[in-house]
Amino acid sequence: MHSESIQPKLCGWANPSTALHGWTDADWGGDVDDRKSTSGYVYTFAGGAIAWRSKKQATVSLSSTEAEYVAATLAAKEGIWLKAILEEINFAEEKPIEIYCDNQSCLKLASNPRISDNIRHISFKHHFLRDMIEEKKINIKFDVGRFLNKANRK
Amino acid sequence: MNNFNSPKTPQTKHLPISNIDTTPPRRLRKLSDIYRELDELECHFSDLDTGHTSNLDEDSPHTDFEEPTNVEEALQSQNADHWINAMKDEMHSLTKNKTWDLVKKPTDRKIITCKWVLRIKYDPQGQPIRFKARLVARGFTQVPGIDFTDTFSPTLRITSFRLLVAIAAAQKLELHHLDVQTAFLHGDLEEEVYMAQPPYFQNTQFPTHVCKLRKSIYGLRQSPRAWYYRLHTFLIKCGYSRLKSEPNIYLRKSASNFIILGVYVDDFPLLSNSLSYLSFCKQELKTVFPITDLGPMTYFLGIEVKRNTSLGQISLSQSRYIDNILKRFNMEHCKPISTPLLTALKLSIEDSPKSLIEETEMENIPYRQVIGSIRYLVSSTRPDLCFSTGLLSRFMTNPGPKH
Repeated sequence: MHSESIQPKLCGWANPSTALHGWTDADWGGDVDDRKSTSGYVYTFAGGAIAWRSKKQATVSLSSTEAEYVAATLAAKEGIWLKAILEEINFAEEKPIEIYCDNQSCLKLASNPRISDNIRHISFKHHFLRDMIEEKKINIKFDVGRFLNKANRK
Repeated sequence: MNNFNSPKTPQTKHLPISNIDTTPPRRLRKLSDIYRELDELECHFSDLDTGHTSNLDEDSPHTDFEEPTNVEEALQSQNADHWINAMKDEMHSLTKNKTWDLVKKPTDRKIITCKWVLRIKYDPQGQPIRFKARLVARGFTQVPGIDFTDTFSPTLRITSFRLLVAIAAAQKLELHHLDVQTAFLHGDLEEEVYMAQPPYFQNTQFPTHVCKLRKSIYGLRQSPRAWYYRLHTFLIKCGYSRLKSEPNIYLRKSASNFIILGVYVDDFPLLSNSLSYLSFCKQELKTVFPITDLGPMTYFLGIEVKRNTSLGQISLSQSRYIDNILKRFNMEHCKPISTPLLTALKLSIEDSPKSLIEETEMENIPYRQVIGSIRYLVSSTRPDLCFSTGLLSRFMTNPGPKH
């Protein structure tokens, strides 16, 4: 067997577009021992993946929305940094970073600053995402992208 | 470990332990124990060179030439002449570089010892091409606050490297690779550090003198930092500016051209829109540091970089590294599968061994070593394995057969 055959072309770039896209996902309560969720994100640029991470969350999420929200914030942090580098070397596009999330209520939570019984316990630091959306640095959209949290890729 | 021990390949289910590094994994130890051990080590080191070089890479080709573990062994081997010449070369470059001044031994300061590390360099066919000797300070004997203060030195994140490669692909830029030889020897030391004279090369006139270091040397705790700042100062002087968001990327612009330089200790990826501007910048660097120009990038940090100019595509792969891991864990005949983990699979601490018998059974399987090797793969080129390794890593302390 040669590994060439099992190495998919994940790290290859051919697209002249310099837009930054992120996909984020979470598996709510995925750890059967402590019921903590795992965040995951992938960023693509010029037609290939450049940044990715899969990280178990520090706190237990009470809803799938919360798990997704925490994951999207993690992705936002990385996205802001990537964008900062691109800006400094003049390769950044004017428009905001697009982040795709597969949870409708998470999207609503991120774009509307309202508080309800189910979300008011969420730690303030995760509202970083909201700020970034308000400042038009990030644009969050709905898309089903299952990259890193499920064992199967897509 | 479902991705490797698939039920269809029973021969890989129980890994034979031969050829596998079975050294016990590092355990947590008290800081005081570590200090005591270091003190004991120092006692050993006081009688010349008893230290050992780290083991040869397991995958390096077999030849009749063996690397000696210490100088005594080298001088008795059939290649003694080669080794003597190699050490003389190193001494020559150290003296030329004005690495140290010989001074009287200070009474109130600790003297750091040093040793020779002897290596053979091979060409891709496995033939020895160079005997290399390097003088290395025993940095672990340095006292914090006296012999060194700050040791932090930034290194390029692998993500930033991928970003640079992606930009090169998107904008069709030149992507070159430079390598600085003996990088650390160029760093200027801020602290006063005294080192013993190198073994076998004591000054005949002043045999009891010690070396007061001017330049950083391999093995010192602050060497990477000293080198980084030396390079930083030079780049700024040349008109480069450092990015605020990533301290290892430098940008320089002229009227119509620009160059982007990444710094990974002594390896530099270079991006530019103009070949002539690129070579101008390379020349400028060459006037100050001894630099090997590796031309268009093909291999960086063990990652193969392939460029398809007609498609305008650049791709990274680590197939050679994957082959090496599989060989190391005797899995080269396993069946390739595209799914790293079963979707429905749930792993739990409950599956960890609970009795001593189960634990000893697991001891023969190099679980931690496998995961460790795959983790580097994940961070460099394989986002698809990210979740599986993260999940499997959680059982690192006490893996069971199901894992």
